[in-house]
This record gives sequence, C-alpha cells and structure tokens, in this order.
Amino acid sequence: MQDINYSGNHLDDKEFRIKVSTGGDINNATGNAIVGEMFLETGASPAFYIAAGTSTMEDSFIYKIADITEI
Amino acid sequence: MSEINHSSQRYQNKPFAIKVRTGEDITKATNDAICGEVYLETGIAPSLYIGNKTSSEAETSIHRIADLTQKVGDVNLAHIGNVGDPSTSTSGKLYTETDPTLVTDKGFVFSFWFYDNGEPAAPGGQIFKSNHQNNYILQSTSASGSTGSLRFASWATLTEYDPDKVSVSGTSYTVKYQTKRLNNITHVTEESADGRGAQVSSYLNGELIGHAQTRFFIYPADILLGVGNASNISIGDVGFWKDDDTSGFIRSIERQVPAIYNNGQMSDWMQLAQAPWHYWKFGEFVGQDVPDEGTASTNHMILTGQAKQRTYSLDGADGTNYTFSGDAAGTDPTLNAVVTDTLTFTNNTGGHPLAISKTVNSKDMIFSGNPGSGITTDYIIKGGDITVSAWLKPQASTNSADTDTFHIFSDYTSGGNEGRLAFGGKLGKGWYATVNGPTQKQIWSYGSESTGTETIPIANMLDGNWHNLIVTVNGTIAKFFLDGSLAWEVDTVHGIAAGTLPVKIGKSWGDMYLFNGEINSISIWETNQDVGDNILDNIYRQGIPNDFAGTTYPDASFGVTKELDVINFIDPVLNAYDKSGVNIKYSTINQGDNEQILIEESSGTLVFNPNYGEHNYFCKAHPTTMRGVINVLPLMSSQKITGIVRT
Repeated sequence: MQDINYSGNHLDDKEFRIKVSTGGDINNATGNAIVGEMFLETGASPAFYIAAGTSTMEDSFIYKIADITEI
Repeated sequence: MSEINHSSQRYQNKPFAIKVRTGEDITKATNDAICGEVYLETGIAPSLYIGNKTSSEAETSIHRIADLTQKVGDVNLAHIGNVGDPSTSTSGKLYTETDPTLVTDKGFVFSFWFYDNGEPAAPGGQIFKSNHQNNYILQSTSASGSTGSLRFASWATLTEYDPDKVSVSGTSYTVKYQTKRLNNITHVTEESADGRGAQVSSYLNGELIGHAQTRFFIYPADILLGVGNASNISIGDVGFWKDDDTSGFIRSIERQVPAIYNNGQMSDWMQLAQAPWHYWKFGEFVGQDVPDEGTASTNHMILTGQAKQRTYSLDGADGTNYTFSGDAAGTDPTLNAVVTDTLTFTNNTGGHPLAISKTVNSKDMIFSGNPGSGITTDYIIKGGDITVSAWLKPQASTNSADTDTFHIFSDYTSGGNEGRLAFGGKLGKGWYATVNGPTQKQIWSYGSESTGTETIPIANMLDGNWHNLIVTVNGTIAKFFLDGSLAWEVDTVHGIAAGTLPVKIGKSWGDMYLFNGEINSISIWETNQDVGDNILDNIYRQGIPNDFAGTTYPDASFGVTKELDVINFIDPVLNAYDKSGVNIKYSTINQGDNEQILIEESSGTLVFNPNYGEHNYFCKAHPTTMRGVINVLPLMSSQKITGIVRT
C-alpha cells in the first residue's frame, strides 16, 4: 500500500503513527503496520482499517472499521 | 490513555483537537476529552471512539465509532454439529440460507474454510447443496466416521484428476484432506467451452486438484448450507461469486484462486476482480455469532481435547487380579506389581488412548517366543483412523521359530479377513505390517513388498536398546515410524475396517508369529495422531514409562523444545516429559511479545493466567506418573501463541 500521509512520534520509546495508507490489497500492509495506522483499501470493494497493535513477525493487528459505500 | 499525536486550535474560546490516543481502557479518557479527539482502544477487544463534546465536570460525550472485531487474516469457524439421527433430525443444522439468484447459468465460484477434528461424523451430512435436483455439492461421506474426505457430488465424471488426492466413483469424486488443520476448498464452475454443459475446477489449499465436465447445464438454483443432516465439521468464511456477465470474470477469478489460500492465511476477497456476491463469515467469538441450533450458548471453536483414559485389569492365571486406571484428565494408568503368571488383559470402560503399562518381576513384558507366550487383550479395533505406539526390545534367538514372522500387535488370524491391523517383523529381514487383513491389502512385508521402499533390517533393532514403533492410519494413508522417523508411507486404498477379534500382544491368533523379546507401553489412539509437526515425535520422546528397570530415555540434549502454532490449531497441546523422572523443572511459555511465564517445580494441578488479556493457560503436572503435561489452548482463533518448553 502507498503512504499518503504521515505523522508520528515516540512514547515510552515506542513508535506511534497517524498515517494513512492506500492500496488495493490490505494484506500488503500486514507486515509493517504500526499501532494507530489507518488504511484505506481502494478498488471494487473499498474499506477502512486501523491497526490496533504494531505488527510482529508472527502476527498483525489490522481491523476493519467499516466497508465504504458510495453516498 | 496516551496521546500519540496532537493538533488543536481554539474557536470562540473553546478548544478543538485532532488527536489520537491509545490505551486499553477508554474510561480513562472521559475526564479530559476534547471535541474531535479520536480514541483507539487496544487490547483484547479493540474499538475506535470519538469525542463529540469537550469534557466538563458534569458531562463527557465519547461515542464508539466501531468495534474492531473483524481482523484481517482471521478465519472464523462455526460448527455443524454431529447430533441426532441424520436421517430424521435437523439438530446438526448450522444455518440455512437461500438466494434464488445465487447460482446462475453462467457459473459461480465458492470458497470456504473448514476444520475437521477427526471425530466421527454422521453419514451424508449435506454441507452445501443446490436445491436443483438435490445436487449435493459437498457432503460428509463416511458411514463409520470422518475419513478426511469431502464428496463433490453430481458433477459428473472427472476428465482428469490427481490420484493422490481424488478418487472417482460414478458421477462424484471425493477429495481427501488432512484432519485437524484448516483447509480451504475453492470451487470454480463455468460454462463449458462447447456451451453444452458446465465444467468445474476444484482447489484444495490453493492447489488445483481436479476438473470435472458435467453433462448438464448449471441451472439457476439456491445454495443451501448445512441443510438437514449433521456433518460434524467446522466451516467458515464462505464466499460466493456469481458470473453475472461474460466479461471474463470467472477466468479472472480462477487465475487468482491459489492466492485465496495464501499459504494458510485467508487473503482478502477484495483482491479478486469482484467482491463476493454472497459472503458468510462465521464468528464464534467475534463478529456474527452463529451457534449450533439448539445450543445457542455453545461455542464450538475446535480445540484438541484431552483424551480420556481406560481402566484396565490384568487377570493372572493364578487368580490374582490387578487393576490400573487413568482418569479423565489424562493421567496415564500405571501398575506396579510383581506378577509371575500368565496374564490376560481386559479393559473396563470406554475412551482412549489405551495405554498398557505392565510389569513382570519389576520389569517389562517378556516374551519367550515359545508357544503360549503373548497376551490376549479384549481390545477390538474400532475401524477408521488409529494410532498405535509400542516400545520393544527384540532379542535374537537360536529358536528356529524366531526365523518366522512375529507380531507385536495383531488381530490377524489365518485363513480369513479377520485381521485389521498387525505389525511386527522378521529377524534378518525387516519390519512387517498389514492393514485391513491380508486378503484385502497387505501394505508392507519386511519393508519391501508393495511399497518398493528400502528394507530396514530388524538386525538394526537388536542392539540391546529400546526402540519405538508407531503405526498411524489416516483415512486410507498408513505410515510406519521407527524411533520417531517416518519409515514407510502407503495408500491402503481401503482404509481400516472395524475388527471382529481382540488384539493379541506378542503374537497373532492361533498362537502364531510369536515374539521373542520385551515389550512395554503399547498405546492406542482411535484417531490419527500424525497431525502436527511433532506430535508423533513427542510420543517417541516421551520415552517408555520409568516405572521399570532398564529404561532408556532419549538424549536430554534435545529435551522437549517446541514452537506452537495454535492459530491454525495444529498443536494446541504440548506434552513435556522430564528426563529425570521427577517433575517439570523449568518451563517457559513465551506468548508473543508478552512477558514470560515461568513454571517451577510444578506439582498437582496448576491453573494460572498470564497478566495479559484473558488468555487461559492450563498447566498440570503428574508427579505420581512422573510426567508433566502443558496444554496451551487459545480461546480465539485470532490468538497466536508461541511456546518453548524445556524439561
């Protein structure tokens, strides 16, 4: 996915981000998601996600907030 | 909660903020919330909130935007039960859904995940069914239990298939799969090239396993899910796509089908050219909850359960009776007694695994190889999957009878089909086993016949040490393990049928194939235990019970070290055995990035919870049997646990 915005800082020596990534496949974001990062999945079935935890080697914590429907 | 970014200004002397905070307790943000602030609640039940009013002493207004329950990569399972008579009962029904336009005459695609725990299933369970002419797309097939297969019925004859995975019978074919793991089936239909029928392509775990060419058209029809009969299987993430135009949609999907499997993790549907027309995502703990009918409070996330134990008795010919029993928690039965006479082995209660631990003059079972030696049990092979483990120490002998084949575990009898499983060896030749009787399928003979694999001479086992043999039958696939390593694997074609005669230890029926040597710890599971990376290896490394002299434990240098991958339910149970025969000395479970959990000098039953979330770990040790067992069970499929245990 492509980063389209970024703002981050460290708290207690941990990295936090407000960042929005876009792309057609949310699975491409599972390897390096940072807590707080948001993901806009584009394509035929767009959806909005957020990482509730920072990805590890074994797991990622990306959750769907909502499917996006056209107004 | 902690602030992780901040941008604010004042308007009409009121503060407004665009700010994100994270933390595990949203209530900690209520006192100082600012209008516009966004809150990400982390932890086991993450949610996203926003404040639409700045807090005052009297009032706070924080609203939940969404529960974050649909995690990318999750496969959520719901269970179709196995209760009631499938011919009359619908109690195993999970869910019924119809959509009159789901199947079109152009074709469709459906993909789903399933988990078969290997327990017996009712026959004919209709998992997916078209209501047009009752075409069963998938159904459970075995009359005697789950055989690790799903039938794709009424799709006519295959034009090509992989014989290792697919068997053909009439107008249907059966796909074999591995039990006790997540599998993905993806089924693609499309109008045939000549326009005179339909063809179907089926994928198991991303691999193309067969094409079928039908003689009839695909008719518009409903798809019924979990209808009528029970099937005893967990399914999830069922997605349907229909071909509602001719723009190459089906072919586009077919090319991407292997990506759906994505190495064991579900890829997102949206990577396909078109979103699914119909999508059922079952969640037992998150999202939509679809319980079994009639058991609304029951969650059926599959975990590998602890097998129950049998109770046994040894009846000496001198009239002395010795009993020994395990318990429902899994403690092995043990018997420490000095007996000097011929023994008959009986079991009193149902359950498994069956474990025989018997001492003769404070040692193991000793067989002379002469007529009359050997043991008669009352265990009759149930049929279906089975695992048998035996420790033995064969001995060379000048007795001419020892040049003949001997049986370690056998219900074989001459002149008929009674034998279902027998294995042993022949001095100077190699190991020997039959499955389902000699007249149906003799799968190994001295490690060479039928399979063409190398012969492993039995002389290798005459080194004075104990050696372990494990035989597993999974569906039609039988394997033979020597000291923890796979020696032979063969397709028995017929599988294993229910036996009619009790099993003999150290000989066969008719007082034939007498074994000369020592045997200890024969264990039987009425399931296939070849289900994970190290299940059988652990069985081997458990060693033989140390309640008799001469025990040779595996080298402690490797101990029991294992990494669990319970997200796929492959190894939710870990057994650790102490070399010194006392207790677990030191065990560490490292749960992801969580703090480590230490268990020291465990004894009795110990239940502990880590300081993270609500994960439930269960640890127990059995000092009486000098054995420790650690079970690490996930509550949700989304939980991932890695564990390292050393003894």
